[in-house]
Amino acid sequence: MGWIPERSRQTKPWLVTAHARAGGHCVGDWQHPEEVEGKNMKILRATLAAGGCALLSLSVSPALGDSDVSHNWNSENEAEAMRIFRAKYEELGGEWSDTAFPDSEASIASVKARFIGGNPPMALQSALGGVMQEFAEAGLLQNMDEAAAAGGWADNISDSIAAVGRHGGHWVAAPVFVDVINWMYTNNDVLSGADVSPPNTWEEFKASLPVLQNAGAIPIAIGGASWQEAILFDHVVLAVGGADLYENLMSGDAEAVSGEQTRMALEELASLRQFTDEGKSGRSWNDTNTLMITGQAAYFFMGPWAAGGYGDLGDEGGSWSCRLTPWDASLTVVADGFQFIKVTDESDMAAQVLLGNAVMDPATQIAAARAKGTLPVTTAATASDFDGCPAKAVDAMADSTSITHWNGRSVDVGNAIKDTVTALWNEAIDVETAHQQLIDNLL
Amino acid sequence: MRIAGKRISANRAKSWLVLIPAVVVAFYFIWGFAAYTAYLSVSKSTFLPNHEFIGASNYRELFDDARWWVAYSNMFIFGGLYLAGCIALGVSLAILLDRLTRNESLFRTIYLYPMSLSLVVTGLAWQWILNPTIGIQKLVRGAGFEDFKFNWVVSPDHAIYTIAFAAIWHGTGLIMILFLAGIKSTDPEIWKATRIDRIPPWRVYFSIILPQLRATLLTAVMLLGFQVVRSFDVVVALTDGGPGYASDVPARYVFEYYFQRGRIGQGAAGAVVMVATMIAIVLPYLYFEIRRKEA
Repeated sequence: MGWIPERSRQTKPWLVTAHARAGGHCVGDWQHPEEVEGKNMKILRATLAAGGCALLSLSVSPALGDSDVSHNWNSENEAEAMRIFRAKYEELGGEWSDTAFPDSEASIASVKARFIGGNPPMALQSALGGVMQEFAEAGLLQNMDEAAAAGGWADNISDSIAAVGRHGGHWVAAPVFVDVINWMYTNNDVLSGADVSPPNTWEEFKASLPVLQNAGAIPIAIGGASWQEAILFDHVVLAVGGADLYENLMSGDAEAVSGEQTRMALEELASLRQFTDEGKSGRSWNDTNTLMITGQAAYFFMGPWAAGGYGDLGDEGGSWSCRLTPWDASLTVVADGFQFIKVTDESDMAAQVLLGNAVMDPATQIAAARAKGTLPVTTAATASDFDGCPAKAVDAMADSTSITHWNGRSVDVGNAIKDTVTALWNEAIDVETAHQQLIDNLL
Repeated sequence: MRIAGKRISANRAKSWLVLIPAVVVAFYFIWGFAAYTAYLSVSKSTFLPNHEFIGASNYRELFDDARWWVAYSNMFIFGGLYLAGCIALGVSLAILLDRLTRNESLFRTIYLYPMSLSLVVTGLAWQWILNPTIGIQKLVRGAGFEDFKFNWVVSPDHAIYTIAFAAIWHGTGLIMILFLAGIKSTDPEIWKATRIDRIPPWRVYFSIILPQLRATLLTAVMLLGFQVVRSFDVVVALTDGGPGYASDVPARYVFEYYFQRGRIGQGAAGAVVMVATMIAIVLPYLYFEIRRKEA
């Protein structure tokens, strides 16, 4: 799990637990007793209230468990998307509860621990890729075939997306969003200040870097985590060999991995190092984003979540722009959604079905995607449903190649890319060693 | 006498009874889990624990990993500097405080203060101070020294030293207090005798007083040694093992393989090597010191 995880590592390093239960009034009833009451009276009332509450929950056994979703949507726009899903879930008659984690690594670790402990959550929001494969193979995921058939989950999505939600032919997850990762954000004021026009080719891009540096700007904003470095590498691979090289490299094609183009891509990546600033080591992606927002940096390569921070610069196309990799018409994509964890309790299983139906509802997906600034998986969405960067992605989808991003592939592929890229980028190894390491780890 | 004897044994039984739960819990949660980790290191565990025995292949993968060796050697660089730094500075401060006739408690508080911060806060604070784009380097450059360079925290070759530096800043106070207490508890007659003999004070400290504090040194080395092996928080907060993995340490490596990469077997192998190394270093020293005491 690469980048989604660490989004808010610096800003919210602690686990945030939010339990919002519709039935949580019992405790609240006696927390604000009238002041005229004596202390003993208060205690009596409290005891009665608590007792009555317990009785109530004993006598009215719920047919539905609460939703109990583990997720890492904790930035403002992500939380808004979650609220939209929650509203739909409650509208369908469910009781909502969720636990937010600072990053996806933490939520995955928690789900594993809770599963081993015999008290798993009902669903886990994450990128649907390597982790889902591992979960499914370890027997952690629920077979949702019946619910999917009854709810018509496959009706409104493409076959390739439906395949993402299945493992071994069975539904185990509900894909809800498609994140297009390969965005290049530019601060147009910095570019025009240095008399640089927005680059359309890799050569133009590289030519602009020393000019920007001489003008006193940081040409490329980048942070210290290996997933950020690997996202920069995505753009370099597309520049050197396009979608073919990207796909072959990530899928472990022997010829491509050991080929000259891969070596060139590593060399090109290493050559970009001099156009970054010294503070990059250890910097979070959001602090890095700030460099661009405050006009200190010119280019920033990041996923769709970065656009949420540019409100201060005004609308897209003014002081800032988002563009999909300009030097190649390819999209690197990864699906985001809910994996259903294997639970045995009937009421919990009923809640899972409800959650699946809520998040697969086309109108809800579109609304949530708009809030989050990404694309829904539903085919009911049209370009007119979106504006700004997501609209550009919808347009691009029509006439470009979509390739699965490394974060949507097996965990080993993601780790191989990140390990090699970070070692090379931080000068632990040279290009030849890096190439050999890629060959060793990807083949 | 018989009655008295019986009462004593009943008391003993009672005290054992009280102790047993704690002993059981400690054994289960410390030694039981340690043994389980050792077993996991030779098992097929990847994403979840899997008890199929596979021999030494996790160790082979661990020893083939360049990253592990960076982390492992960092433990020695960090550990050596941390122990030497804390003890040298701690002893010096203790002697200076001992010479001080006024305001001793004020300075004691000042030097002990870092200890009251958690290592996470220590790491974060030093991360900002050392960061070349916002910290000391920027400050000095802003003061007119344009060529001033202090970028150790972002340099792959030097990042581990900044971690040692922050940890020494944090740990020196404790060592100072330990040695100050030791110095104060030595026989005051020594000072009278040496004054008559006109022996310079530094000589008294280094030839007479400090050699008496071997037990204090043992305590200090033990306390700091454990700190070295479990150094995790300060690394995560200061560099998070970066740039790249240049300042990684075994504890962080193990954590990452265990919990984030789903390579429980390899992580457990790292943990075993970490503990084995500690035992290999500490045991001879302990043995030597205890033998010496008995002799």
